[in-house]
Amino acid sequence: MAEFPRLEELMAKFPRDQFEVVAIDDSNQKKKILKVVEKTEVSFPVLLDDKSVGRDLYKIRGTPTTYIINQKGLVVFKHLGYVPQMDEMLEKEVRSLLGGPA
Amino acid sequence: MSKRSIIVILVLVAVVAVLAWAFVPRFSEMARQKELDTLRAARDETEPAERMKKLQSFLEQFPRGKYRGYVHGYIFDTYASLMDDTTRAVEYARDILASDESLDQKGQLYPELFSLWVQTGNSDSIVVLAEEVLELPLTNPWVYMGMGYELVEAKLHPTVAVKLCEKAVGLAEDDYDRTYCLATLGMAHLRAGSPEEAVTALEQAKEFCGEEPDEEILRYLGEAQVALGRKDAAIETYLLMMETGEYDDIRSELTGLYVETKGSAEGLDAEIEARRERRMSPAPEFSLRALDGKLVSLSDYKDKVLLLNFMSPT
Repeated sequence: MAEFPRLEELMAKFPRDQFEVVAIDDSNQKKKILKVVEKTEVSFPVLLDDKSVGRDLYKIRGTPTTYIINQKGLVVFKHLGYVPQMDEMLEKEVRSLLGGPA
Repeated sequence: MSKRSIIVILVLVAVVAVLAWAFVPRFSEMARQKELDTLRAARDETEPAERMKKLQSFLEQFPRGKYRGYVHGYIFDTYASLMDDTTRAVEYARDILASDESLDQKGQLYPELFSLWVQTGNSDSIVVLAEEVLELPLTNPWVYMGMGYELVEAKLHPTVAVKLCEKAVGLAEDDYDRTYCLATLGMAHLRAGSPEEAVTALEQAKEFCGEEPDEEILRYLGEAQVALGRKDAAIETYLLMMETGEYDDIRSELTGLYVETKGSAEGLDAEIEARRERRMSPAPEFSLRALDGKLVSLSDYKDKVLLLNFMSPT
């Protein structure tokens, strides 16, 4: 959850018609999630994974797991865990996909 | 005793036996899990005094624990790195090595001590300690491998590193052990000036990795292949490395190899891009409800770059 404000920041750096963020809650704890979302005022959708999309389809082995999917729907980046250096990594990755200077 | 009561007793005994058979492994598994959780909690503590307290209470709590060796290592590391008190760390190691802790548990202190000697450039002690540990009947390959790796990293005593890693390979029990022991053996061979042996060991390590070979294995493998003049093989190795990551030094290494073998580096960038695309898999389609009740699908984001963040509220 600590990454919500950072994702919000990342999203603000790119035009919305080119880059978007979607969070998927893996815990099925709707009440808890609602509380956090209210507190941090996220502007991206937070989905409830009641179909085990994360575990079964995306084969995540823990949270947070971050994916970047390119314009063709291909997975270009996957990372388990969160480290502060990741913000820069993600930004670089998105920028290169959008064709800007890396 | 009637026949009937004998049958009842026999049935009861059978039921108890079946229950015990079913649950005892689970209990021991639970105990192991508890030990592992306590270990992790102590390891992840960052405040030095608090970490030391947690580690010491682990040793009291699990007098016959499977992971005591790790804890000795962490205590050593807490003194040496977090508290900056190497004298105390060495004293601790000496005390434990002289204690009646089992050899395999205390054996894990050797790589720690070793690492300290390597860092402080205590060259004679390194060789003496390595020879001493090589004589010990330790069963944990990671002790030998860890010591070998320290030497490889520090570019010291490569032949001693080879001996340590050979011992580690001999003790490896599963593919995971084998991968890293062989990888380190290969690195040691390369440092010792035997690229042929290095390639053999590193190729084997690479095989064990399967689809996603370790970046460090490929790095050393490429270096060994270059040393043997096998430029085409080195190009393949480095291209594989570039498939999953971006390494500026490897890209320039590849540029050089392209120029040497093909006359120019033209086509290198396209080759890397094509390989990366081939490796990418399509993101699985899904439709899930958002908190506001709206149905959201992956296909809603077609033609856009999307960051998907799987998380849980903690």
